[in-house]
Amino acid sequence: MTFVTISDFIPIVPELILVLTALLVLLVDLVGTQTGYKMTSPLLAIGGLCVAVFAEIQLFGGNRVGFFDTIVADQYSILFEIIYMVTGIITITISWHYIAENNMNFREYYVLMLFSIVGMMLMTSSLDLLMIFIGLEIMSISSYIMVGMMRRVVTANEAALKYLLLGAFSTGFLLYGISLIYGATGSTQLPAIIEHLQQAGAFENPLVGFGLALLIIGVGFKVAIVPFHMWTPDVYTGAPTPVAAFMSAAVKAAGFAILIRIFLTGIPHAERWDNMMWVIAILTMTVGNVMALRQNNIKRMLAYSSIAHAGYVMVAVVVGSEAAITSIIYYSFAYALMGMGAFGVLSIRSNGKTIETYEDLAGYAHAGPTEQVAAVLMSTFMLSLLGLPLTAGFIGKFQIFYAALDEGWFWLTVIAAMNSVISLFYYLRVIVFMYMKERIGAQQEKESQTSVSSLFAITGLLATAAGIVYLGIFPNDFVQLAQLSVTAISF
Amino acid sequence: MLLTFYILGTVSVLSALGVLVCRSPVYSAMSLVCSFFCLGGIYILMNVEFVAVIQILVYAGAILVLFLFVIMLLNIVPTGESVRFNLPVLIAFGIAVGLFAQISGLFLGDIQFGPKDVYTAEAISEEGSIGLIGRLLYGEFVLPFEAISILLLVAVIGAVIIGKRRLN
Repeated sequence: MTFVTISDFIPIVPELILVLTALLVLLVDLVGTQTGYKMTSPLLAIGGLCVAVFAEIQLFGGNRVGFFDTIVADQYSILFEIIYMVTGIITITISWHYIAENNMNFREYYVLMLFSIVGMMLMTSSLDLLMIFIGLEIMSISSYIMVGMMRRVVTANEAALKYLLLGAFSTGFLLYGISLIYGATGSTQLPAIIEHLQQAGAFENPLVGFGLALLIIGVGFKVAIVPFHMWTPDVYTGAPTPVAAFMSAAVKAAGFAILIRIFLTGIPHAERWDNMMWVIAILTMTVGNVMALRQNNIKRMLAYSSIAHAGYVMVAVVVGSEAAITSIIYYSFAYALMGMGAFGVLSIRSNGKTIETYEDLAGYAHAGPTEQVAAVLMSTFMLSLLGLPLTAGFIGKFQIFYAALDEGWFWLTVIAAMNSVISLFYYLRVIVFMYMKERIGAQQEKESQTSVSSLFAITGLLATAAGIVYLGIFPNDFVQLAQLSVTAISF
Repeated sequence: MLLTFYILGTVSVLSALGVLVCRSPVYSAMSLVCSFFCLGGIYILMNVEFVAVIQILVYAGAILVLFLFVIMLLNIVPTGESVRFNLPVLIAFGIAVGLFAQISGLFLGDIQFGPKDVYTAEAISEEGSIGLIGRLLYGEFVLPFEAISILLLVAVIGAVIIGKRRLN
C-alpha cells in the first residue's frame, strides 16, 4: 500500500494557501460586527490570492508532480492558475462596493469565490478525470451560490435556479462520459487514457466516441458554446454583476483549460470530429454576435458577446496546432481582462442608478468625475473586445486567425473575421451612447456621489485597462510564457 | 442462494411496479424503499458489500427520506388522474425510445472494455470490497477524497445562505 509523503503537497501549495485563506475569511466573519463597507474580508482574500500567485511563480519551471503522478504543476497549469487568481483579485475590487450597495451582506461571498478558484486550480493541475470532475463541481457549486446571493431579487433567483438545474444536468453528461471512457480504457488517468486511445482502432470502440462526446457536452456547457449556451444570457443578466464578470472570465478559462488537456493533447487529429467542431465554432460566433446586436440590456449584450468570444476560441480548438493552443491561452487571459473590465464598469452606479440599458448610458461620460474616468475605461474595454490594434483583443484575434490560416482553415477564418465586423456595431454603440448622446429627460444633475468604495473598483479597473494595453503593445512576454506552457503539455 | 435471488428479484420487480401503480405518493415511496432493500440484498449475493451498504444508506436512507419530506411539505393528495397520452407526450416517448434503442444498439455492438487492472473478482473477494475501497480512498485517491470535503463545505455554506431566514 502506498502513502503520500510531504513532497506530494508541494505542487498544491497554492491551492492549500487559498483553502486556508478561505477558512480564515470564514472565521473572521464571526468576529465583531460587520457593517456594509468593512474591508477585512476582501483585503484578506486579496492577500491570500497574492501569496498564492507568489507561490505559483516559485513553482514555475519546476514541473513538480505529486499524488501518484495525478497532480502536476507544469507551466501550463501554473499559467492558467495565475489567470484565475488575477481574475479573482479584479473581481474582489469590483465586488466590494457592489455588495455594500446592493445589501448582499454575505461575507461568504469571498469564501465561495476563493473556493471556486481552488476548484478551477485543482481541475487544471490534475491529470485524473476523477479529480477534474471534483474540481469542476467545487467551481460550479460555488458559482451557483454566488449567482443566487441576492435573494430578494427575482431575476437573481431565476438565474440561480436555471444555472443550478442546467448545470446539474450537464454534470450528469460529464460524469457519464467519464464512466464510459473509464470502461473503454480501464483508467481515469489522462496519460493512460491517451496511451490507450493512440492505439490503432481504439476509436472503433463505440464507448470511446460516445464518452468523448458526452465529455464535450459537459465542458461545452461550462464554456457556453452554442447549442449549450441557452442559460448564459439569463444567468449573466440576473447574477450580481461582479459574479457575471467572474463567470465569464475565470469559469470559461477553466473550461477551456481542461478542454485543451483532454481533447487537444493526446487525441489524434483525425479523431477530433473536425466537421462537427467547426460547425460548433461558426454557430457559436454567429449566434453570439447576431443576438448581441439585438439586445438593449448591456449585461445581456455582454453575455452574448461572451458567447461570441468563446466561438473565436473554438476556432483555435478546431485548428488544434501548437500555435493555436498558445493563442487560446493568450485569448483566455485577454478576454478575462476585457470582459471583467466591461462588467466591472457596469457594476458602478451612476448618480445612484444602476446602468442597465443603452439609454441609461446616455451622457454617461459627462455625468461626473467618476463617470469620466469610467467612460474612458469602458471605451478601452469595448475597443479591446472589438479587437482594435494596440489592445490585447487585437493580438488575441490576430493569433487565432494566423494559426487558423497557417493550418489551411481559410473559410473559417473569413467567417470569424466577418463576425468581428458584426461586433463593431454593438461595441461602438456603447461608446456612442456614452459620449454623443444627451441624457434623456435631463433631470437635475445632483452632485455626483462618488463614494470611496467605487474608487476601489476604479483602481482595479485602471489596472485591468493598463494590463490590456500592455498586453496589446508588448504581447511578447506573455506569448512566450504561453508557448513555454504549450510545450509542457504532452503531444 | 439461487432461491434467495429469485425471491429478492421478484419482490423488487413487484415493488417497482407498485411505485407506478399506487395512487398515493406515500405508498409509492414506501414500495420504492422495498425495491431498494431487495436490490441491496441482491448486491450482497453478488459479494459487493460496499455497493449494498451504500444502496441502503444513500437510497433507502437519505434519498427516500427526502422524497417523503417533499411529499409531506407539498401535501400532495392523490388526484385519481392517470397520465394522458397526447401528442407531445407521444413524440417525447418516441424520441426517448429511439434514443434508447440507438444507445443499446451501440452497446450490444462491438464494445471492448479496457484492461481490468489488479482488481479482479478474486482479489476483491479475498479482502472484501469495503476494505479495498477504504485502502484506495486513503492511498491512491486521498486527494480527491479530501477535495470532496471542500465540496461539502461549499454546499453547506450555500444551504445556509439560501435557507437563512432573516436577512439584515
